[in-house]
Amino acid sequence: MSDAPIDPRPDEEAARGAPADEQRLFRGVILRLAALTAVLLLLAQGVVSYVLAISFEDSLLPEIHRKAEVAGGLATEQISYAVALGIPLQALVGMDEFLQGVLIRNPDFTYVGVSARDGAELYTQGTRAASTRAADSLQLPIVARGATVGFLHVDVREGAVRSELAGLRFDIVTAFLVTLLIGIELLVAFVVVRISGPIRLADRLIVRGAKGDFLYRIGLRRRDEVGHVARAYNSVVQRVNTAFAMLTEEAEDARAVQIDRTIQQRIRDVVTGLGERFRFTTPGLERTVVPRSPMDVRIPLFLFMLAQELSRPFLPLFFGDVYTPIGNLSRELTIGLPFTTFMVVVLLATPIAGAITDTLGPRSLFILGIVPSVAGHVGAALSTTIVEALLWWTLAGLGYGTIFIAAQTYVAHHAEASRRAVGMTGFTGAFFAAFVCGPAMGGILADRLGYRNTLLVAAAMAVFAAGAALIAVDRDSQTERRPRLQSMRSWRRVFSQREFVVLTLFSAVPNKLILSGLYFFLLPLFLADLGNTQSNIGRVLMVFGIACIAITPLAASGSDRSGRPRTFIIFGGLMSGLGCLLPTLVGSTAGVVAAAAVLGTGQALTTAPQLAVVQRIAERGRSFGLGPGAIVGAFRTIERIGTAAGALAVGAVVTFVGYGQGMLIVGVLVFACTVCYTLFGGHPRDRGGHPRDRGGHPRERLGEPADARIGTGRVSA
Amino acid sequence: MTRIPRAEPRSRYAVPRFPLAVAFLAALLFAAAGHGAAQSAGGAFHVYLVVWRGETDVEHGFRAHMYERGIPVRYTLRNADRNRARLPEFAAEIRAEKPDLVHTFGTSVALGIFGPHTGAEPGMHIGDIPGVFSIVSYPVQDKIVKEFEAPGRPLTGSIFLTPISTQLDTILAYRPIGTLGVIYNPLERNSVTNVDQLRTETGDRDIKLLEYPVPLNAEGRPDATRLDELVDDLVRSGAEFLYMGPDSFITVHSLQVSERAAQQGIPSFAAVEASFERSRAMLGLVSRYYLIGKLAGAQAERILVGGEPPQEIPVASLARFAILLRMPVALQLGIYPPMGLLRVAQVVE
Repeated sequence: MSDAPIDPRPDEEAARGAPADEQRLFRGVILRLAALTAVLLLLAQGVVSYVLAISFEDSLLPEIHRKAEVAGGLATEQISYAVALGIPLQALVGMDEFLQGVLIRNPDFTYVGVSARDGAELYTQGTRAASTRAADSLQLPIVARGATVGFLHVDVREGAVRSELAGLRFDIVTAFLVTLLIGIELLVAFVVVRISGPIRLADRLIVRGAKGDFLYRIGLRRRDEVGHVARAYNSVVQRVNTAFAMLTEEAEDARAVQIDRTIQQRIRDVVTGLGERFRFTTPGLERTVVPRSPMDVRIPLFLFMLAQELSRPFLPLFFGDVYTPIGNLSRELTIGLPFTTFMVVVLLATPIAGAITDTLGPRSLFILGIVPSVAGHVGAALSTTIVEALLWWTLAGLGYGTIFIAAQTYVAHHAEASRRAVGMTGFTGAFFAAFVCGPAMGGILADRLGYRNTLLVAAAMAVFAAGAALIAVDRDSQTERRPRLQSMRSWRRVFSQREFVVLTLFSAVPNKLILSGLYFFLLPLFLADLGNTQSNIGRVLMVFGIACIAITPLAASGSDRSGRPRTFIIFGGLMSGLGCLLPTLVGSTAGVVAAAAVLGTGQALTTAPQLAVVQRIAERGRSFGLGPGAIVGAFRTIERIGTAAGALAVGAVVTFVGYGQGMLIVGVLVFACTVCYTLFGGHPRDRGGHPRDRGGHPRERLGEPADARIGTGRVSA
Repeated sequence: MTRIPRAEPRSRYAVPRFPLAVAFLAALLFAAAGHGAAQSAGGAFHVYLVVWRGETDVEHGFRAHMYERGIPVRYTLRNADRNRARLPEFAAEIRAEKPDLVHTFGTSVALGIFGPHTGAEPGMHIGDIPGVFSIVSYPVQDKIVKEFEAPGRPLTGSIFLTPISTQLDTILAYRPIGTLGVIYNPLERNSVTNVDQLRTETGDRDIKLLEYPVPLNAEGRPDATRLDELVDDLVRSGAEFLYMGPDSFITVHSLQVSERAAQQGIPSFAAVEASFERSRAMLGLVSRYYLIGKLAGAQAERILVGGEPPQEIPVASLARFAILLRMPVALQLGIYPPMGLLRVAQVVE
């Protein structure tokens, strides 16, 4: 028998034998699977997209030419009729109006002209394209009394056809990207929940078994390979425990028949020694360990967030459609109102949901939250006035706030302490994927189904999310209380911190103003005003999301590594300000697209470093008797107030000026705030950098990595 | 109100006559068959048709309507042959016969048979026999009815003149003009009324109107021999279009007048079908006689079958008019119709 000492540490720590290797192993597997999926999807979708694009061209262009032929044929017939009546072709009266009418009735035509048989141009309307290809130009003979007297020429608006095709191709590419992201998202979640999670658990328990710990069995009942491994291991454990029980019994019998006390003592020593070096239990009474992962909630959460994001590109336009005057409120202000009430309800729901989740458990709360969300979406879809839409949308906000807390609590509870940060990454991952996919999908749907039907699709998707939660999320969950600011006194203490006040006032609040005022509210309205389709609006919002997602991790690690989060915050603020100026500087849709990218970058640059600063303050906060959770919570609350006010504030500004000028004003405000933050935001001790922060990861030193990680997702709004 | 179906641009002038001929023949047969029946059983309605210068498309349309609706009618046709003096004789016969309905053609016949609503003489005009008039341009001004909505006596009908503003629109759609010439019979009340209105409308559009009343001869009747001279004078004075209104005298001489104008190089416009039909007018905006007749038939049906009192049936008018285009004249003059007009006009070869 081995003399290997039994590991005395508690379960979680016992499992940390080789966490780094294990993590690397699974990350490798997931990465490879994701890459493989991407490649396969890329191939399949690529082929389908290509075939679609080609067939559009093949079917659409001839269709347009056929239409041109019919319309041109009608015009030719009328000219032929006039000529047949005896009017000479070159003496036709009122041809300008006639051809103008042809152009007006056929928006696809850019040019109509009549030439004599010798080719001399007699009448023309519209402008002839510089390089007209044969396929886009039509020449129809004018026949009178059996003889060709001249020709009618028609140019088809090639550009319109092409741009329509280009729009379709954009849609195809968007759909491709979105399905790719969703595919990988679901794949990762599936692999973690169904494969890597159970394997990790099995691995952990087998390692313990190897060290002589036979107390646990793996709680897996599936019939797949992992299930087989689990069953095999479980039978080993049971076999060993049975063997030990029998050995104990036999030893007891053997001991009972011994007369020599020293032999008796030796038998007892051997059995006791065995029991000390190994850990046995009564066969059949092994503790069953069920693999649970914070990733369980990822798919339901992703589906729900996707549903929520679907309406993103058209929501302000929809509110504009059902707009009916409320009192003396301006149209823009009224349209902005539902965004504000939504956020106010999220704000109010957060502490209430937090309290309920302690008793109900996050699973029930999640499913409960779907009810107001679905009702809100359906109600909004059926609304005929802005007041109805506002009330229903506010109800949807209640669902959103509830589900946000439920998911967050679940992750915080189920993530093993050491892996909580990783768990939170999964949580924000669901947000991010929805953040990028939702608006793009919603735009395409809205273009084809209309606003109301897309809202109904979102409601259906939320129902799916509830179903997914029913299946995937663990039933019995109790949660620890989250630290909250309890009294006015602690609020006052938080606000006595100048650094905190300056950070929230001049960086966090303007940041949220941009998110809810510009991204949620103004950009869709502005883009629609510039004549963009819903699909295009969705894609522009996707640009914002992609910029956020691409930059956020870079900004987070960069700020941590440099130990100068303030520099990032200031730089991000300047970027955001610049983004606001772009539509005015560049003009047109291109300017707004660039603005979306720059604004997204600005958001990403500031959010993670803001958290780092908040945590630094929170750390100092210990010295004046406030938990770090309390300070982070206060920061979140103020941020959300900023989000709530955003749409309303921008709506008020837009009442008086145009969309472009509205952004300009927000930009100037952001610049001013950034300057204020630069001047007043530093802590005296921060001058020249904080040596303790250098190279360290502030989150790891903080007792609340959960909340911190969520914070890096801009979707915490 | 009867709506005429939108005219096919390509249809020729003569085309609508085809069903008409069939209907007419059938109606005649029916009338012949019904004659005896009406005598014995009294099953058919007795309708007097009083015409001014022979039966026209108006009467054809009237008979066609009755036939298509399956209404048995016995017709008595009386032709004044442009002689006002014969009308009291017809009126006396009608008073004696007591038909179910009297239909009249033209302003003169209507006034001769029914008299003005202000002073109908019981011994000369018919009183309480229901009447429908057609081809009256100004029934209110000419005192045939009190007002359009409520005729004020057992008489209703339709106005057939197209609105003067629409007539001018049609002329201007053909070609912009600065001067319009009109020749008219100063003795015909509705023609004078029409010229009055034309004066107002042209004035509103800054078009100069040259008015040429036909001089009277020794008997006090308009002198047809002076017409060529009038046309020449009119052309010399700068008229770019000759206007022929609802004027019986001009209608009779429409060929002579329009031919002379064409010879002098200006086109003629006809406001009534009759003056377009047998002339060399290049352009016309008219209510088709056939459709006017059907409209009268519909009104007669309401009176005879529906039992509605005529005094409660408003005076009607067609909702659509026909633009007529005589292509040979256009080609002769070298004044070609614009494409837009060609699309809607009925072209006459």
